[in-house]
Amino acid sequence: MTSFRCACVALSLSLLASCARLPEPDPESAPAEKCCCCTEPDSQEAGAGVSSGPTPWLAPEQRRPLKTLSMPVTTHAGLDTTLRALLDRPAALAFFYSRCDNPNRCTRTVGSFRCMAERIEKKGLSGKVRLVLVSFEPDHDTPSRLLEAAQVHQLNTDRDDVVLLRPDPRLHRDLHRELNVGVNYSGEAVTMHDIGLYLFDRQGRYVRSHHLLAWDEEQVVEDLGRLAAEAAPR
Amino acid sequence: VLLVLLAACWCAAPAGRPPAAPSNASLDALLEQMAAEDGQAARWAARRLAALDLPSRRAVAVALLARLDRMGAATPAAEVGALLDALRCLAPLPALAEVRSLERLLPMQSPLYADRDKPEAVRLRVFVMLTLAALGRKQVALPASLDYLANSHSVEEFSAGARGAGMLGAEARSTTPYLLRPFAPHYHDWAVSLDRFAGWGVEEATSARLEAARALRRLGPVGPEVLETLRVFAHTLPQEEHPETPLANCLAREVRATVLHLEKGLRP
Repeated sequence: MTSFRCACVALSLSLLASCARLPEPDPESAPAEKCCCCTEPDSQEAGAGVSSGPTPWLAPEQRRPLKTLSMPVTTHAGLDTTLRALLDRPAALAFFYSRCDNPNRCTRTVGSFRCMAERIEKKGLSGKVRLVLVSFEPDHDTPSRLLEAAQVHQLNTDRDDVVLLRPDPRLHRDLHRELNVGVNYSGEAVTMHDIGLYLFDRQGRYVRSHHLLAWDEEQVVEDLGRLAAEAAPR
Repeated sequence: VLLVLLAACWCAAPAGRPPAAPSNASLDALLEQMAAEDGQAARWAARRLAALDLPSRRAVAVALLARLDRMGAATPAAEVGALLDALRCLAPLPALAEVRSLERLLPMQSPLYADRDKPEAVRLRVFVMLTLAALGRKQVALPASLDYLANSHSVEEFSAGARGAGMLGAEARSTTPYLLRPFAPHYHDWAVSLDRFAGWGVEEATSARLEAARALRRLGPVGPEVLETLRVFAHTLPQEEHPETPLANCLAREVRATVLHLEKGLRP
């Protein structure tokens, strides 16, 4: 192991020493302040050939309600409720956790939700749909930490269509299993996780999802509008 | 000695008959060598494996995959890593149904990664992806490779994504835009190793930029903007080589070779 460490340090130093530029602050490691409303220019073509786009749209008769709808959750405002109560409108749901250090995953996800919240307002969908961010780490992410995370990412939580959730720590992995979320833990701390966005209709039924690459916010908001236009159940 | 006997037994199998499955003792000896921090021992074992004929390589792969099937959260990472190292040495192999025991380890929610330290879990999955790519499981390995390239934050994961994309060849061409990430001015590159799961030496060091340059060369024709990014980066590299910076020397050579290759529009 000693030789491994020595080699690692020596090579890292030599690699860095060879760089002709002065080190600059790493924008990737800072919270994403730039607007992420626009999909990256090359991302339409990038990833082609891999199933990175949305999954097929399920027609109403094909949809099934989540089995975990009755799971207790606490909102960023400290309100104790259930997942069912928050999926009473068409909703886009994604996972994150406040201490994620990867700007390309959770920071990007929350930034994307900020962007979608703005688009929802512009399209007149406020009050008709919901954006739901569920913590991967309910033991750590208390309501106050969720609120702080929203503020750090300039996500407006004053409106009732944006909600950050602390799921029941005893049951939250059931939701991961049901949605086939890629996540793993050491104890209760996340060690790795994928990115994904899940769309639900007003009855809490799964409609479609996005995986692997950042989703197109415009498309997600359009999908939410499409779901909002569906006839309410009798 | 066990390894030599093992190789001799496999090679001595009567013509037309598949070689007998390797014994547990010989596999144990093999994996012990592969797990050794001593690079020489591991490389020697790797060469022995690679030198086996196809039926023997297949027999060893099947035996190793059967072992992998029994591994889980409680298996020491070094043990899993050595087995993955051995499997990569056996490539190329014909399609094996048994490779499913490797594929089921790729999802992040696999029990294999549960309750491990983050660096250990991440490195294990990196090697699972690389092994799947080496064994030609393109459709399975490509999404993971793309995820590492597009969404990772660590040099190790990015480098693995790039190496995986390079191994997958033209079918991974859609990863090209992401392969340019480490050539941005703010990217902090670092030395990592992807050859062996366990310890590694100077000659095994690589980096995100090095792997990305190699992958770009293998993926085939690129657009002018890709070439321009590489040209700009190549101008920042030192013109002369220094013995104390072997990795930097290697990077400069690889980037220039990639630029030259892409300029000529040569196909891999």
